[in-house]
Amino acid sequence: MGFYLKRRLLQTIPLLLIIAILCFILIHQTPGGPLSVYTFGRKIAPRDIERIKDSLGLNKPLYWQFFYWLRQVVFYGDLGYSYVTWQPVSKLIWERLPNTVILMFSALFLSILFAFPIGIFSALKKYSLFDYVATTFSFIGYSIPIFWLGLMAQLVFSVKLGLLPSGGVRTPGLPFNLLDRIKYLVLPSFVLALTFIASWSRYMRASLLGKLRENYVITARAKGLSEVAILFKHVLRNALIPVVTIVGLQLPLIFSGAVITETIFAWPGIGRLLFHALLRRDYPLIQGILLISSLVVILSNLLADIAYAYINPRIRYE
Amino acid sequence: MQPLIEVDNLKTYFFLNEGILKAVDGVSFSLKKGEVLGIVGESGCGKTVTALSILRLVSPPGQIVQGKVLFKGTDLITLKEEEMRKIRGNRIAMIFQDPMTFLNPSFNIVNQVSEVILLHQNVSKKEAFEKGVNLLEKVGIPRARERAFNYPHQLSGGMRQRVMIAMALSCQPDLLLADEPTTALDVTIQAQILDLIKEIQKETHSSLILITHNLGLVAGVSSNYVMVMYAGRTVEYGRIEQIFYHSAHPYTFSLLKAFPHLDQGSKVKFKPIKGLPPNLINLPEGCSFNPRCEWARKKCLKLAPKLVEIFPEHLVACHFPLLRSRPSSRS
Repeated sequence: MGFYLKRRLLQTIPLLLIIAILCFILIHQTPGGPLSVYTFGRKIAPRDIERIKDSLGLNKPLYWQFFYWLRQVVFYGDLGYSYVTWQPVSKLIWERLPNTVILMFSALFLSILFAFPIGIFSALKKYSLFDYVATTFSFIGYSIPIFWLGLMAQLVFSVKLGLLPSGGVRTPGLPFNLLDRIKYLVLPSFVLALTFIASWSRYMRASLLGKLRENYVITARAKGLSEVAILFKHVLRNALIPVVTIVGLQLPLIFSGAVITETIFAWPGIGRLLFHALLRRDYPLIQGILLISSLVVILSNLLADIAYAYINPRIRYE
Repeated sequence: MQPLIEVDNLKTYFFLNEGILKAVDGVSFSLKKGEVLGIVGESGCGKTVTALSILRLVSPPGQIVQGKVLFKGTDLITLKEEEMRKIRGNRIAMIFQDPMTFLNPSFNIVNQVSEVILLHQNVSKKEAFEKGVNLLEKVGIPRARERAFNYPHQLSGGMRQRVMIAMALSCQPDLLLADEPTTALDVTIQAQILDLIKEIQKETHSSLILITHNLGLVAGVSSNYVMVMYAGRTVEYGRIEQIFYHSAHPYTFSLLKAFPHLDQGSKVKFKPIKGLPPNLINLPEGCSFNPRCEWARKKCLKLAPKLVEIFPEHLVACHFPLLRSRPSSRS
């Protein structure tokens, strides 16, 4: 396992490099550019534009810009400065990353907390009222776009009922208070989790139904085990194997969902930062965020792989 | 001596959309302590369902609709589920056909064996583990202490079946049900596994019901009785010598003929039984075997024969049992 981990961690290096190159090319190909702010509707001399370009290094060839950026990252750990605020990119990201991680993991936690029991219960009570309700809910939950759901949740729970705050991470001016933080977390994390509750509960149901028909279930019954023991010990462990794969593969989707959710709920996370950086073509900031978020996704996939190896003895990373 | 198990007119039906499938339709037999019964028949004749019905492991749409299974005098069919669970794996244990799919792929083998011990005996986890290792050793798993932590996929077919047997033996059951225990194995391994089952049965003096489609196996474990099933019913039941040397039902007779005998040289060809087993939902009128029977007469097409005792301890369900035309003797 130790060797496997080392190998996987080493593999992330070329992976990150490829991601960095692709991102660099793609963002520089987008129309506009960081200087379009100055050229659009304002009277700035072309000479001044050239001067700004020169000072930012934007008139150099693309590969030169890339290698300069790479050198700064690798040798100095410097992600550069934002074109808009002139703050260090790493500082901007570091301020926002914890919020995103909190949102992602609470959404992940909620998704598992709801999806697995719903799926298990649907499978056990196949074609019952509960199963039909869960099925309908899943299709609705899966079809609703996050942004619309977010707006509706704000409308109902904040505006009409006044139960929960409509945005932000905490009440301004208040010292740290866990309950207060949770209150702000409820709406965005539930909105983000809904899609995953919907889809993962379906996967759980299908997987469990398949495993309940396996022959080893008959063996377990013939041993004299109770149905509850059979379900939790023998069936669930096997049923979780494909579900954990799906969860691992969909972790990046939680991240991209977080971008939208953060924007709607004014959640000061990396997603919202990225959204604004994209609008302003803030190259260094975009590049930095994409790099760090790729790292987060790669590491969470690794986590999923480890969990997978843990529950599936037929997979041993050696 | 009171029989250990007495099955009386057992009927297990499957209620399907297409109709009622009578998998087991009025099967009766009894077995004393230490005796061996071989249940023989083609695929889909109700052998496995009979065994599963004894343990009450038939799941919907299957259902035991009638009959008694008296085990040491208690009727298992009417027993409470919790009481039944105390019997399963403890007093009656089952060895299944395919050890790959009947073992759980996610648990190591000693875990699967000691699980039964933990469940039925009042022992600590450590003791159960030790007992599990000892059992694995006993069933012939080499270096059992190391291999105990292996998972089923790391073992060969024969070794897996040994694990199955260890699991079944763990509580020294009074009755072992072995459902085609060698079918999924290589021929060379089959003999080893069969010897193991035989040895253990002798040693523990438990009763054994061996389910197979292979009459040779029935002789191989030196059964006391043989029950031949066809389309969910018993067609012939008797002591093994009677079945082998004086088979009276055309089906048994044909089964024996369909079996190649090496000792008879190449001159005698074995003769397969024509046709296929009938559809259990839509059985032919009269005797179920009549479409495939060489001796079928008018009466066989109309009336289903009852199981009657033609000799002491030899029962046949046939209107015209083959009393004179006995199969050539087998050595």
